[in-house]
This record gives sequence, C-alpha cells and structure tokens, in this order.
Amino acid sequence: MKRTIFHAVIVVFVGLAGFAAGSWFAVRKRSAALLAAYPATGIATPPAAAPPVVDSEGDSEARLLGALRIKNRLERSARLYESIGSIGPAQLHALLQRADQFPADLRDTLRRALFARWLQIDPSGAAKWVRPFVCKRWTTTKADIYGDNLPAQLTEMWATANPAAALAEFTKLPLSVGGAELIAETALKMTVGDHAACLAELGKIADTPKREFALKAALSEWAVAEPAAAFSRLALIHDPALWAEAASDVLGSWVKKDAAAGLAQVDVLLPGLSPEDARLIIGNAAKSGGKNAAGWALAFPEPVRGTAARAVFNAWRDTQSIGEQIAAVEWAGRENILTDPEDAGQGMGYRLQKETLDAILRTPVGAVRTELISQLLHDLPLDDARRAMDAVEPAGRRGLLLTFISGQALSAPTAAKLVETIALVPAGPDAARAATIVGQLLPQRFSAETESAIETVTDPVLRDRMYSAAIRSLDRNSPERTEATLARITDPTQRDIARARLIRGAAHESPAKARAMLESSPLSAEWKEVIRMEWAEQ
Amino acid sequence: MRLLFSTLFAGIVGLLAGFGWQWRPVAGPSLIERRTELTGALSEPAAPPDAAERFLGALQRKGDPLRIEHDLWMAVQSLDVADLRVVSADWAGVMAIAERSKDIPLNTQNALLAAVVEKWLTLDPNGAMTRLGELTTTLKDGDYIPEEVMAVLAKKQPQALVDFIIAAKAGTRRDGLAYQAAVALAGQHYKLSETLIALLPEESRRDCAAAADAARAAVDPEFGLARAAQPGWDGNRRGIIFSAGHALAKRGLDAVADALARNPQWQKSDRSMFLIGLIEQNPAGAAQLVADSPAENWSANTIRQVATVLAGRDTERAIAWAARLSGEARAMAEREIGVALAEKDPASALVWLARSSLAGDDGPRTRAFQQWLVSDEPAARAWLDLQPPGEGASFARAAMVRHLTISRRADEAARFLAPDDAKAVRIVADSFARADVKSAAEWAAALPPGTGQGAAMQAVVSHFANEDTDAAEQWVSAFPSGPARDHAARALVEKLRRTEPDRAGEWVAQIENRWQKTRAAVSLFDYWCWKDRTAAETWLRSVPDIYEIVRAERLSGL
Repeated sequence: MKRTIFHAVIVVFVGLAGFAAGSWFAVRKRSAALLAAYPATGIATPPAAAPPVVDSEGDSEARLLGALRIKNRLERSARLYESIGSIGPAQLHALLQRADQFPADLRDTLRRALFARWLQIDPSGAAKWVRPFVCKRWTTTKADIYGDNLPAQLTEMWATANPAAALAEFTKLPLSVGGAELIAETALKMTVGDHAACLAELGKIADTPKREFALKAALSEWAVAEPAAAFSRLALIHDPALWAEAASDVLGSWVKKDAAAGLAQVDVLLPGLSPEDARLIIGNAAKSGGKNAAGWALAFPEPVRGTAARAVFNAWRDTQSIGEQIAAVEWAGRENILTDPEDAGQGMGYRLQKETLDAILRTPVGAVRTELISQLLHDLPLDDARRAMDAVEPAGRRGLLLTFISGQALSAPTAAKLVETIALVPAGPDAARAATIVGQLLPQRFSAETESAIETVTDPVLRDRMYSAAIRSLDRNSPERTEATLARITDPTQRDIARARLIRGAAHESPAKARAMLESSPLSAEWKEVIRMEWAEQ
Repeated sequence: MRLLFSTLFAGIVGLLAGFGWQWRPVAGPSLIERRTELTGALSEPAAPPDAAERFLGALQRKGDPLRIEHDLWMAVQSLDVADLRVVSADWAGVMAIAERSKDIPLNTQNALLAAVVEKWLTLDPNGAMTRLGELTTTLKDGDYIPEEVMAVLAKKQPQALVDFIIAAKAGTRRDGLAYQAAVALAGQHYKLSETLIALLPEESRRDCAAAADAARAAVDPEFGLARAAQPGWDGNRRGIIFSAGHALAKRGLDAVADALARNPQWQKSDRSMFLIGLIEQNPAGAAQLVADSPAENWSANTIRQVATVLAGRDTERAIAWAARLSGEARAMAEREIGVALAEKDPASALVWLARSSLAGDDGPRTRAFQQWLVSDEPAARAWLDLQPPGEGASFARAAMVRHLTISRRADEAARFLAPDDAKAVRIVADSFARADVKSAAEWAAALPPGTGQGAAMQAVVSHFANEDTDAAEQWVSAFPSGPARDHAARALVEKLRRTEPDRAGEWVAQIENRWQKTRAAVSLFDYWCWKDRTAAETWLRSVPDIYEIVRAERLSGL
C-alpha cells in the first residue's frame, strides 16, 4: 500500500514537473517568437493617411480641445489621435496659433497632435514648420534629453514619417554631436534597421567631418547588438581622435557583451595607440567589463592602472548587490586601488551600501579604506559613522569628518540642530570648515532663520565663516540688509572674502552688474585685480 | 516497468499540457498592418489575434508618440479579466511587452502601467488588490511604485490601499509604500493620509507630512495658505506655497493677487514659488502683478520666468512689459526675451538686443548669433560680412570662430581670429592640437607674443603632455621667458600634479607672472588637499610671489 502511494506520488510529481517544464518552454518559445515578430527597430513607415472624417470644423475643434482636458495621459492621446483625423489644413494653422497661448504641457501635447496630422496631409509644410524645433534639438545629445522634450519628439516624428526628407535636411545643418546621432538614427530608419546599408547611406554625405561623426554614431549604435561587425568597419573613420572615440564605444559594447573577446581585442589594438587614446579605450573597456575586467585592469602600469581599476570598481559597485559590493571592497583593499583623487569624480551616482562596512573595516588602514568609507558615510547611523571614522588614519579622518557633517547637516530637522552639527568637530581649522559647510546649507534649508541661527554661535571665527558662506543666499533674499550682514563679520579678511563671493556670484547672473559692483566695492586694489583677472580667463 | 511507463507517461502528458496551457501562436505584425491598410481606419485598428500582440504592435509605433499612446490605450481597453488572472494570463506576452517597453519614454511606461492597473481595478477589484499586495512584497528597499500607479490606487481603492499597507510587515519597504500612499491620498482623503503618516518612523514622518500638505494644498489652497503661515520647516512651507499658487492660478488672477496681498510677510523666494502657477497659466497676468508692485518684491527667477513664458507666447507684449521694469530687473527680463526672440528670428533678435538695455552686454547677442549660425549659417555669415570692423561685432566674430572650430573648419576659423582674443585662440588651439599636436605647437609658437599666444600655448601643452610629458617639458623649457612660457608652464603643472607633484612644484617656481603663478599654485594645492591637506597648506604658505588674498582665501577653506 505504502509502495503504491509512493509510486503515485512519483508519477504525480513527474507529471507536475513536466507541466512546469512544458509551460516554461512554451513561455520562452512564445516570448522569443513575439520579440522576433515585433522587433525593437519598430515601424519606419507610417500607415497611409486616414481619409478625412466628415465633420464640421466646429465639431472637430471642440473634440480636439475637449480631449486636451482629459487627465489620463493615454486616454488623452487616444482621443486626440481620433480627433485629428478630421482637422483640415486651415484649422491646423489656427489651432497651432491657439496652442501658443496654452500652458506648456497642453501646448506641447496639442503641437504634437497637430504635427502628426500635418505630416499626413502636407509633409513639406510640416517640415518647414518643424525646422526651428530641429535646430533646437540639433545641439542636444540623446543622453541629455529627458521627459517630454518637444523638439526631440517632433524631430523624431518627422524622421520616422519621412526619413529621406529629414536626412537631406539634417545633413545641411552644421556639425554637432547630437546632430550626428540624429543623422545616424534617421539613416537607420531609412534602411529599415539594416546597419550595413545605413553605413553605406552615411558614406554618401559629402562633408567629411559630418560624415565621420555620423558614422561614429552609427557604429556605436550597431556595436550594442553586433560589436564585432561594427569593429570591422572602424576604418571608415579617418579622423584619429574620432576613430579613438568610436573604437572606445565599440569595444566598450563588445566587452559588455563578451568580456573575454572584447578585452582581447583591446589588447590587440593597444600597441599602435597614442597614450591618450589608449587611456580612453582602456577606461571605457574597464567600465564596461566591471568585475570581469578586474584582473585585466591591474596589469597596466600607473596611472592607467589606477584609472582602469577605479572604473572596474565603480561598475562592480553599481551592480548594487550587497554580495558583489563586498567582493568589490575586498578587491579594492587587496589590490590597493582608489588611491588617486584625480579619478574620484568618476561614477559618483551610486554609493556603497551600509552592509559593506565590516568588509571595509577589514581592508588595511590607508587611503583605500578612507575612500571606501567616504562612499557610505552618508548612510551610516551615528554610532557606525563614528566607528568608521575612528578606523582611519588622522589625515583621512579630517576629510571624512567634513563629509559626515554635510550628511548630518542635510538631514537636520531644524536650523538649531543644523548649527549644532558644528560641535561634532573638534575646535580648530576643521571646525571652521564645518562652519563653512553649515553656513552654506543654512539659507538653502531655513532661509528665514539663517541669521538668527548664526547669531547663536558664540565663537566669532565660526560665526564669521558662516556669514561669509551664507552671504550670497542672504543677499538674494534681502539685498537691502547685505551691508549690515557684512558688518557683522568681525575679521576683515573674511569680510573681504564675503564681498568677493557676492561679486563673483553676481557675475554669473549679470556681468555688467558685477563689474559695477566691483568698481564701487571697498575691496582692496589687489582684490579687484584678482577678480578682474579671473573674469578675463573665463 | 509499469512505474517507469506511468512516470514517463505522466511527464510527457504534463509537458504537453503545460506547453498547451501557455502556448499561443504568434500572428505577427504584417497581418495587423495589412488589416489596418485594408480598413483604412486610424482610430480603430483591426483587432489583432491577442492582447500581447496588440501591445507589442503599439510599442512598435516609435517616433509617433500620439499613435503609440493611442494604440496602447486601445490595447488596455481590450483587456479582459482572463488576461489579468495568474492562471489564464499570457506570461510570454508579459515578458515580451516588458522587454519592448524599455524602449519607450518613462512617462509613457508609467502611464501604461497605471492604465493597466486602473483597468484591472475596474474588472476585478478584489483580485487586483490581492495580487498587487503580493507583488509589492517583491519590491526591494529603495524601489517604488510609479506615482501614476499610486494615484490610481488612491483614487479607486483608497481604504483598501491603507488596509493593505497597515497589514504589511513593518520595515523600510512598508515605510516607503506608506510614504508614497500618504502623499497620493492627501488631496482627497486627508484622514487616511494621516493614518499612514502615523505609521512612519519619526525621522521620515515630518518629511512625509510636508509632502502630504503640499499635495493637499494643490486641492485646497486655503488650507495651504493657512499651513504656510504657521512657523515651520522652510522646505515644507515653500512646497505648500507652490501647490497653493498653482491651485489659485486656476481660479484666476484676482485669487492670486488677493493671496499675495494677504501675505505681506512672505519673502521674495516665497512669492517666487507662489507665482509659478500663474506664470504658466496666465503669464500676462503674472507680468502685470510683477510690474505693478515694487521690484524688490520679486526674485530674479520670477522675472526670468515671466519673461521667458510671456515672450514664448507674445514677444511684443513681453518687450512692452520689460520696458516698464527698471535696472537689473529690466536687464534680466530683456535677456530672456532675447533668447526667446532668437529662437524664432535670430536676425530680429540681434537688431532688438542692440537697441535694448543689454546693448553693452555681449552674452545675449552671442547666443542669438550662435542660434542663427545653427539655423541658417549663410545668412548669419552674410550679416557678419556687412558689419564694420572693430568692437561692434566682435561678439559675432568670436561666435563664428567657435562655430567653425566645432565644425572642424579651423582653417576658416582662423580668418575671423583676432590674435589678442585669448578665449577664441584657446578654442582654435585646442581643436588644432587635438587633430595634430606637433603642427599646433608650431602654429602657437609663431603667433605674435601676447595673451592670445599664451592661451594657445596653454591649450597645446595640455595636449602635448598627454602624448609625451618629457617632450612637452623640453619644448616649454626651450621657450624664452615671457607670457607664453608662463602659460605653458601652468598647463604643465595641471598635467604633472597627479603623477609628479614635485616636478609640478618646480614648474610653479619657474613662472614669472604673478597671476599665472598664483593660478598654478592653487591648482597644485587643490589636488594635494585631496591627499594631504596639512602638507598642502604648509606648501602653499611657502610659495613666494603669489597673490596674498588668494592664498588667504584658499587657506580659509572656502
């Protein structure tokens, strides 16, 4: 009996396992089939224009403007799309003029809708209208465009609807990186996603720099999917600096896709490169490879080793997995990387997570440990932060302390608490620096209370520093009180520094005003000379 | 034997059943396209075989944001309960849609997610809330639900949303959800919002209450104004003022003016936040408010925003408004109007700017000319050719040099180059050195002595040292003392400070010009501070012949 039950359980189990495997297999197969049937390249040619719907002018306009009031974004687009089919050429112009008077979001939504219709009924008229938007898009790169960027969207709409006309117009515009990306994208649309044909199309551009910039953009794009194929066409670019940038992009994509093959290709290429090009390509390959490029990065001599290792570390850290971050920390400690501040600006977006603290404290005392701690200090609870700062050498502790103060000051709930953070630093030069940080943050967070909070500080040195750091914000809020605020600074040197800050700040907004301020300022002749020379260099 | 057979049979049957359960044939887009063409209907595309393909077809409409969102909306509307249930859902379709959705803008992605959730809540509210509750347990710390989705949940199932969060396991994930939901509920369900805020740990309660207050002020501006009048955290007050301003702007100019009159204690920055809504809704009204009250009431941001938005809608009106302002406010407004005008008609912008209060300021005219060079280079060049030589059009010549250099036409750029225009020379030299550092070095050496040559040397040495530091040092050493050598030495300090700080220090000592020496010393000091601030300070104190005030400023840490 028991045996029968056991056999039945096995049969049922295998049946269920088969069911799960069959489902999984079907899901994979169907998903792949769907993705193949609907490729990412999209539809380059729009369907034929809709026949005009018989509708009175008033009705179609009312429907269109009514659709604009719908809050749900997708529904609004759907109703707009349905309404534009009945808009005629005369109405288009009138509605576009009307759109100018709407708030920005409605105006842009309406412009998009009307342009879509215009492209259907009068492509050349639409092309003329869109030109100023294309010019605006021209100097912006793809990576800099966020959200509902109207110039980018209208340009893309045109390039999709009529790639040949758009490409002809784009190649007449001056050279720019963003423009070259657009030319490459449009050529790819024209050739319906055929990268080789796209390169051939770009090869027809007569202007050499424009052609080569566009080829670089096209090769970088192709390399994401087929790096080896893109790599084999790099010789199409003859400008040495541009070639190096293209090679860096293509190899970076190759390393991302297949680290071993990509890095091997970098090694083959390196002997013929200038030091600058080599650094560029190695840095990007290291970043793309992440932990897979760890050993490879360390084989280079300094300072390339440091740059490459930092890139590897940042990519490894940015996986955001705690396990991987700990492994990255252990590697950094073992290999003594992250010691060069010149590279510290790379990859500042992410930080180490607080769970890596113990691993960091196991690294040897020195610059690496200090740098690692600085990457997670902001997130540590007070006790852990103190423990971390106590575990570094004195020279490094000073910088960490100020990082820590910034973090504490940013989360202080009141102006008084913010000022109290200065007391976390021992008296002396570090306290003065902490006072400067707090002085900068006070008006940003508690503008109305800035002066009263500064007045609670009894040490005149710290108070001077705080006023000096806060002076620009205080001046913006109440310029009539600026002179009185300056008079509260007891140290003449600090007062001069504060005056100079005001004048330098004004120069960002109005050079003419700043010049006038400088001339009438009681600053010494030497100060004035220095500021004038700074401006002359900018 | 029988067991083996039974097991094998069960496995095969299970495999086939599982495959059959999930497998659906793929019709492909060609069929959809053909049907669309046959029917000729843009608003009603022919129904493709299944929901997943409707979504995937929609997601292919790249380059046509309206069409893509239309088709996605239609696809969402065609969903039925079976599409949204675990046992009957098309998981392959979900995977494919998730993959293809990565390519569409984030706003559209979030709107799609919100529309699906809304449809789900309509078709099967209980099932949806249960399933969404389970899904949220898979969120990692720091993950969040898109604002649009949370807004749908707050609108359709406010109480269920709160109940679900209360029942969730306490921790950072629940705190995150409670925070988001409290803000989403604040406008219409303030009590429920307060319930969730009470769940939060003390340190985030204040922030969340502030965000919730701002959301409530967007619906109930009087509440916002009353709350803003209470003493409290500035960030909170400004957010509330901003929301209340937006809400009141929809009621009209009088409502905004009345609120401003009732709050004379507001600072400039408060008024600036408050007016943003009116500027967007009714820029002419906002302009009137600004012009009718003392200039010191308004921040620079407000002046700029009014000018930008008004000029975008009605340039003539904006110009007339700016003329009513005086001093710096007028200059700021005219600068923004110049930018807006240059986008529409750069030639007219140049003429107008020359007559405006900004006639002595090259910045706005430079931007207008740059705009013109992008949109119509031949016309811009023709205009420049007609300008008399001298200072009058120097801004345009400098812009032309930059434009031609960026366009890799350095030889043409040289035609417009004034040797004493250090900025322009630096740009050309940089471009030249990038392409051919040796030739650029020869060119820089042959320039007439002066600031222009110095700037060229600095740019060239920077590239030269990247190629070969020793050769660059030898080249600079061979140069006679003077401004060009000082500039070049400063560029060497920039390059050497990282790898050979001692040699960088030696080059600082060799610089004769006091200003160049000061800048070089500061450059080395700043880098050194990263590594060892104490040693860097000691060194900076010992450097002779630099500007004392710069030394003092650096040592004071600002």
